[in-house]
Amino acid sequence: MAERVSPAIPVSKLNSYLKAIISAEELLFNIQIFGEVFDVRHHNGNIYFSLKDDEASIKCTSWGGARYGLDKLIVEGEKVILTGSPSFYEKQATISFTVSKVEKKGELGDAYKRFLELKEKLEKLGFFDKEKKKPIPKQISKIGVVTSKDGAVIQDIINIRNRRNPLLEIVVYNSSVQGATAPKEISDGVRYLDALNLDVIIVARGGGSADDLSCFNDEQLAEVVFKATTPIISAVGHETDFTIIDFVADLRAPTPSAAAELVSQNIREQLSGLTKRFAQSVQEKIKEHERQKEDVAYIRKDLIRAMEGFITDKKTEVKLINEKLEKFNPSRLLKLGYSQVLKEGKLAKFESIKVGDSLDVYMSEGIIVTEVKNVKEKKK
Amino acid sequence: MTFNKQIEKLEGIIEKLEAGDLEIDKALKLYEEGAEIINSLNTNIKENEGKIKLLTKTLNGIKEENFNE
Repeated sequence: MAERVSPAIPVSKLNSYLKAIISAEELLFNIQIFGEVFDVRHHNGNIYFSLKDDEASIKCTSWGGARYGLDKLIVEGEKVILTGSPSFYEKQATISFTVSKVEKKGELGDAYKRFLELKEKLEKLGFFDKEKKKPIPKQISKIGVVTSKDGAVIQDIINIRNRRNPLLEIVVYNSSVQGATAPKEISDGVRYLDALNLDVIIVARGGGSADDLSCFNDEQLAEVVFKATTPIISAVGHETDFTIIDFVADLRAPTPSAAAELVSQNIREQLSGLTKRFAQSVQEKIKEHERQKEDVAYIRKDLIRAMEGFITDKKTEVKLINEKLEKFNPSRLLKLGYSQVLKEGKLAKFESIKVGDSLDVYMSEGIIVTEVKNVKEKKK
Repeated sequence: MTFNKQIEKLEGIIEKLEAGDLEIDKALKLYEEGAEIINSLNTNIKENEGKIKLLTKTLNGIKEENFNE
């Protein structure tokens, strides 16, 4: 294990950090847990108790619970579903589940049974078939959202769109997202948006209790979603919540924010990434050009050096040839005292010389014109 | 040209620049072209924000208005 060297912190600091983490965790906010009640104590109208299953337990508090009649449900051995959030107490680093609602397990069991029955029915009808799911297009420029215009959800979706792709057009169909009229309103919304030729439709709602989300477990809504020609993304509640529409939709997003990210291509990031890459490639090109220029300069120097060497060599060669030529220069020979004999302007050949011929004798100082009196051949 | 088409074109230019076996005058031409595309994309993001419409069902049918963020 890597050792971390950090200064020691007081216990209180650790506890306040833990508290901050737990209170900031959205997944722990307003959740439902079920188990068996034990260890019940009453004090000042508050009910303190624990909830357990076969493997674990958690302390729970119902502030002023007795005043709301919760003491009739929070009874030793009772199986209940609690709605609320865990709270962290800094003093002794304890966690207690703060209760906002208590239901007998059997009651919601019925709703869950209905959910399972509907799920089975729709599954048999082929509403969940993978091969019937429409693909979500890669390039999305116009989307529809069915949700409440006043909720945090639509704001989250718009914020994400502004951050990632401000070019994206959004058509919001305002609908209630809980209560008796919600299934019909949501269905109307999907049907209406489906006719607008959008790239994708998101059906969205923030987190809530199972009861709040139950409007998405509606058979008519499931049918409308199944029959729509536009790809539909369901984004209902938190990641841990599942409703019927999640199974029928072409894609289930864990949260509305996740759905917004799925449909908004991050063009800002894409553009800044490409701009960086472009600048780098241009810089690289310039460097490469500089290097080439340097290479050319080197080559030029080498060439000049080679040429200079060549010229020097040639000069020496010419000098040597000149010296050689000088040896055979006739005027040099004449200066040494030799003469040249010409007959009729050409070097005279011994065999051609006859008595009476006129010959020119060339000496260094001048020419002597002679007449041949006698010709004697050398004895061999 | 759509945003994605321009992005594709820019990617093509960068790939050519990165390839390396390019003469300097051709590279300069690509640089000019790329810089122009980047400018136009930035302007596009700034100036062509997509509309957000709000539809509400009323007794007289669907009412359409701009969504107030």
